[in-house]
Amino acid sequence: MLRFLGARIAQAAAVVLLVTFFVFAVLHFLPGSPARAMLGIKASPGAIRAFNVVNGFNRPLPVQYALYLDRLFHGNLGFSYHFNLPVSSLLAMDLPKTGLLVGIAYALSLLVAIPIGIVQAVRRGNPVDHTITTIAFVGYAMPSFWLGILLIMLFSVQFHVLPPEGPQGASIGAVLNDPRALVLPVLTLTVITVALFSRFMRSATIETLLQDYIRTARAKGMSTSHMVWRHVLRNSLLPVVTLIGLSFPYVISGAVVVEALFNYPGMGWSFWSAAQVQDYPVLLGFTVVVAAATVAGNLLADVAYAFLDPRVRYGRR
Amino acid sequence: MIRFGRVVASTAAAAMMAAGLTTSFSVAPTEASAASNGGIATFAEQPGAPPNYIFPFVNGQYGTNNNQSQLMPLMWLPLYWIGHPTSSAVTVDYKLSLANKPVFSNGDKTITVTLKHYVWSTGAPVTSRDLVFWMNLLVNVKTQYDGYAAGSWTDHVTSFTDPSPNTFVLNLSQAYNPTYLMYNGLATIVALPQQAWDKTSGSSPVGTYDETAAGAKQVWTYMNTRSLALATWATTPLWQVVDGPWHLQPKTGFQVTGQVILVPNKSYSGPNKPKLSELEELPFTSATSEYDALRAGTVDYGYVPYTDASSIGSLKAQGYSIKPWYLWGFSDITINYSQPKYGALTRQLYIREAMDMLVDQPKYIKVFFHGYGAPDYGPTPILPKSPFLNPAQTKSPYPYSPSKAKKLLERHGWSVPAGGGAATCKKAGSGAGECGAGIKAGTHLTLTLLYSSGFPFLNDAIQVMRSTFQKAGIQLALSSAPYNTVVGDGFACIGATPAKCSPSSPAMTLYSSPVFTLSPDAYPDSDNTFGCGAGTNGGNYCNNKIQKMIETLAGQPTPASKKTLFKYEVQLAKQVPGIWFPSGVWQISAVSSKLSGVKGQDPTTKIYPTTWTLSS
Repeated sequence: MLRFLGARIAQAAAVVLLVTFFVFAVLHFLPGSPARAMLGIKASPGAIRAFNVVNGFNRPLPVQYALYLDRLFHGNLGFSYHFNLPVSSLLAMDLPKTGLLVGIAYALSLLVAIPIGIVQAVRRGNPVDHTITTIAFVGYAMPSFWLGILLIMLFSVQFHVLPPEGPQGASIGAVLNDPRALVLPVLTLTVITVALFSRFMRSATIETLLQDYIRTARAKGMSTSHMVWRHVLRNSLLPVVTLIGLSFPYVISGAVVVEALFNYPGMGWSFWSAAQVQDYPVLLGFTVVVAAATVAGNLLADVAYAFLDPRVRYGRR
Repeated sequence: MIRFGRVVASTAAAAMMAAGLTTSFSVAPTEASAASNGGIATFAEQPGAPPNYIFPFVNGQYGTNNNQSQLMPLMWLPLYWIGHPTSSAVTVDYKLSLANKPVFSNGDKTITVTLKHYVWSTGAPVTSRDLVFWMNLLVNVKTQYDGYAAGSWTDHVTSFTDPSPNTFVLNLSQAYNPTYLMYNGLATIVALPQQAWDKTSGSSPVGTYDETAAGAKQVWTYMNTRSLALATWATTPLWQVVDGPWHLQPKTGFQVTGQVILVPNKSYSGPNKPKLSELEELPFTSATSEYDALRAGTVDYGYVPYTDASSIGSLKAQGYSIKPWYLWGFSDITINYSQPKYGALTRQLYIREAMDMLVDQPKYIKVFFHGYGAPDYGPTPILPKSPFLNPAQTKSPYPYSPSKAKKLLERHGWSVPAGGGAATCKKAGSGAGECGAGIKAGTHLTLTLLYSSGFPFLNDAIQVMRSTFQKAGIQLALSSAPYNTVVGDGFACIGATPAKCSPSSPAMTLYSSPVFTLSPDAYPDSDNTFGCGAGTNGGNYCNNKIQKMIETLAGQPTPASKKTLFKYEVQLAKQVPGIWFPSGVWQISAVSSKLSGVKGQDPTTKIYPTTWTLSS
């Protein structure tokens, strides 16, 4: 197992490096220039040149990339000329907020989706299953911005019971100080994610229920609830664990639509804003973090898989 | 039965309900300052554009409205204040200015300014030494300053002195039109607290470092660094030294998300003392989130996105009053005269005239801008009204007429297909009745137009425009891109000859609406946009007659310059350097019935919260 982990970590580092190269290349070949984006229409050619010199954009691309890697290996993610903050400060501010919002939404989604998926699988084909399936598809098909606007219209504009914006604090403490403001953005994300997770759970549970050992358990007189809790749940969670691992980057990268709609500046919104003005340090820095989160998520999923399924053992041949 | 799922699900739901629905929500309370009990007013910042620079000596990167109009002037007063709290006039408000009217002498090369009595929040008086401090930074670090342009008045400063604490004397090597210098020069000077800011580091004592070139650069570097440290704005004592009516609430006055909390400066010695106890400028990630907050009643002074203009009735029913906020600026579709493939076409005045005849500005304003806009028929804005506008420029030199446009092309040797489509040049040559120099026989009248995506009202107008152009014989090949890309491509050929301009660059570009704001240089000569080789002349427009007028404008004494300005406006309008296009309002403001005192909206986008009061 240790050898497996070591190899995977080395592989992860190589993947992240490759991602930085790819993103760096793509960013610098996009049309437009950060100088003009930042300085605006009225900037003189001299001002544009000065901006490029200060930010190193006048150097050859390989040199720029080498300098970027050098800073990266020293823990310096650069300075955002759009936000006027070091990228690391921006991350320190946005990452916990986004992690909190999306993490709560995902946790709630799992809490709701797992039992729903199991209920649907056990009662598949009957009206309960069909009803939940319909609701799940409606939820899944619903655009997040539309659902969010509906919730705002209802709870904020019509009945004034919840604020239309997410918590406005810059720190995680300030965010947690205003839990009511988290309700609508979390609800928006949860409704859409529940649908996805519940469908996966349903399919996985159906597959498990068709196994021979389940038939044997039934034949031995085991109650349904005991059978589900003891035998079905753990085995059905395997695909869901993979899904959670694959979803981990989304926890980090944020939900830009929900963040924009609920005025909750987090990773997603900051990335999108930076993309508008070609703020390369932010785009690269966030990409590094998300890439690292992606490989970490996959690794965690694989480790969890081994924990859940004793047949899976890594590092052995 | 599967009970555990029900238990978990119902527990989760109950937790959410309990957290969210105990009482009605309200805006998170902030600590109000101790002084007056005038209430807390909330003002919505433009979406995605929170303040990101606080040092009033702004460089180009930070010369945006959020910084220069809605943050800095509330704390640090300019020498001369352009704009008024109760009207949209773009004139000098001497009552709000730091100084009395300047006196021009020595053939308009010497300007003497007498300061009024103002004090800094430290108790020290605002003196001419504070103006000298500004000027020392300006002449030594001019390339970092937003308002600097090579060859402008800053390059002609010979000396500046403070012969007495309330007298400032500026000497120039050449005479400038006093009105021009007021708007583009004197009004951009800001008194800086030399007794608190003349430092080169946090630990250095206050000195006179600004008096040497090297020292001035060090001072600027230090202040710039402090300004870029957003997280420290509210805790740094530097920014608490103000002469304006407001200052950041200590410790909590600024969050890096962009929220600004301003409280009254108790030492403010000017007119219009604040009546509010607190002003909050709220950041928004998107116009949608701001609009939702407006409808939920948590914003006192906000704006309605153009896309929601049709639902303004519901806001009015809530008690909001709707006020269009016109910007001091103008719009046109920029033409790239250096474009190697299309330049020969756009260099023909008659083709530009024809295109101008095909833009039905009043209709676009009514249909696409929902009535919230103003036509542009020249370089001087029609709205807001100003003494700079020649009444003759309030009408289009080429009124909308597709039939006349078509005939104009046909008179110059073009053949327009019966059902519309790109006209074909039948008579090459540069004589009368011929297509024009550089246009070969058989050339199709097709032009590329790149415009910014993300503005639905612009997109709709452009689509209609294409159809109208097509019928008259001009085929527009449209493409859209994000604003930043359009700006980059639109300026890609600046200063380039056709030989050096990429053939793939667009023939014409529409950035947004409004396009060009007259700020911080408020004098509407548009020299930066239409002057030969000017810094913002992305299309390389150059007309010797117009250039001579621009040069004359800067140097003439006031009475003569008004006549020249009027003549210039009409001449430039007729030249159609860019296809004139309507300017949308800067914002469709929505003001809560609780908030009184919003009588006018300054076209330079400054706000006047000292005149605002809140009713309960």
